Amino acid sequence: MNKKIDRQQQEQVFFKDTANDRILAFSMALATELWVTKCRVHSLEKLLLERQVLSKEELEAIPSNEERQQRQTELDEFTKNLMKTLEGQTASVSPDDETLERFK
Amino acid sequence: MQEKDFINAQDFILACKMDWTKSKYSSLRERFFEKQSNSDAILSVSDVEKLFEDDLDYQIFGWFERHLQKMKYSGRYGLIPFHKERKDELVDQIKDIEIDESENFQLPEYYTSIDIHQHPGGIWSDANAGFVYERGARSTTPMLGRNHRDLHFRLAEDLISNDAVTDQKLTILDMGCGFGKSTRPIAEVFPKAQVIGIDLTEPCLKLAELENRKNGISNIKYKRSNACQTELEDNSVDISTSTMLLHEMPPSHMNRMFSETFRLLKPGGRAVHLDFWKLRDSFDRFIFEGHSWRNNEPFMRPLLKMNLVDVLEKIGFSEIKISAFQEAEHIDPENCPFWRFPWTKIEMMKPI
Repeated sequence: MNKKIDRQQQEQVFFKDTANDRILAFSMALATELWVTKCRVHSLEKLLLERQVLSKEELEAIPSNEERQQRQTELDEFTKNLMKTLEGQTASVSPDDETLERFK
Repeated sequence: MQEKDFINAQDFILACKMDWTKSKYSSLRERFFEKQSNSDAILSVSDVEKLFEDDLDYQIFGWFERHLQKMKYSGRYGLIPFHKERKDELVDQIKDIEIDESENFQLPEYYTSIDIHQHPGGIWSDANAGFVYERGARSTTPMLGRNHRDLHFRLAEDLISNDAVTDQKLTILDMGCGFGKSTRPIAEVFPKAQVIGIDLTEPCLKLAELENRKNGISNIKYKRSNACQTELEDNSVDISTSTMLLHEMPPSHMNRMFSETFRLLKPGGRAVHLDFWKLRDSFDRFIFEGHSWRNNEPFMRPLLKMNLVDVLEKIGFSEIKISAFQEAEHIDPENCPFWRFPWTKIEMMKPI
């Protein structure tokens, strides 16, 4: 019978202080989000200005409270995904010593 | 997840990988030669490990190697969540495709025990895993960018031993063919050959067959079969190939696969495997034995240590040639300053 696979393993550690591994993961997830958002904003603003839908001043206006409330669910998901990077869990099953020994 | 966000996020991850490939690796390599007192000495992996003990740049290098792959597959904009949201639509394309299977076929336990190269669930467990793998494979070798045509066509063209051979009705076996990325170039270069692609994973084989149908390819037949036990007839194959298969097999299974190849090749038939084996120096051995661990490819390490010539000679092969393989015109395997897989062509012949 096949061995039961443990899908919740501790992630590999590269730095002397594990905190650094997790903070870097957090930062990279954040950086990805930043890039995705920058791409969206860039293409949207370009279209709005090109089609003269909005002026430069309107694009820079601050958000209303209503607009901020509408974004809350998305913000919660965004935050949850960032915070998950701090847990130090793998997403894939890595070989353990027993498996390596059996198939060497 | 919108596709545009997925594409932009994957571009970002690939851009980071390119920096890691060109800048992080190169600077570590330069530092290695500075740290090494005698530049001609052959150091063991543990010797090199000592040189980089407590080295922050090496720790960062290792972290990025592991985590960029993790982000690519499992991050918020990873291949897995992107394809999960589109699973019904994708699987619908292959639901009517039936793939022949060897009698008593079973997935080997080594294959299901590990999520190879950090692909959660492996490339076998989910019906849409072939689509995930295909999309991921587009950026596996960053130095080739998004175009892998060079690599696979170069091998296919390399199989031509003389001008006449492409006109012959050869039988060519492509072991570990996956979704047919290595198989289709062979079929194109050898239009009169019957090409057989075998693999363990049904989702990939179905995707390969889908490509056959879309492109009207009639000289490739895909079968779900273990390369260690193909059930093909003795002395029935002219050329046997594989690309990136050896490093995904434990040594015991690799030995069985080589013996199986010997059985099914015709006398005078050749086997050509493209994989990772020939390392140019102690630093690259240190880096790739580490890669084996960091990227969930545990059998790469024993492959790198294996005496292949000895193994192949014992089975009975002759004309064994092992050489560095140039995966693209612009890359020099011996002097490339950037990270690249140590592509190696391993050729052998079954004596007449």
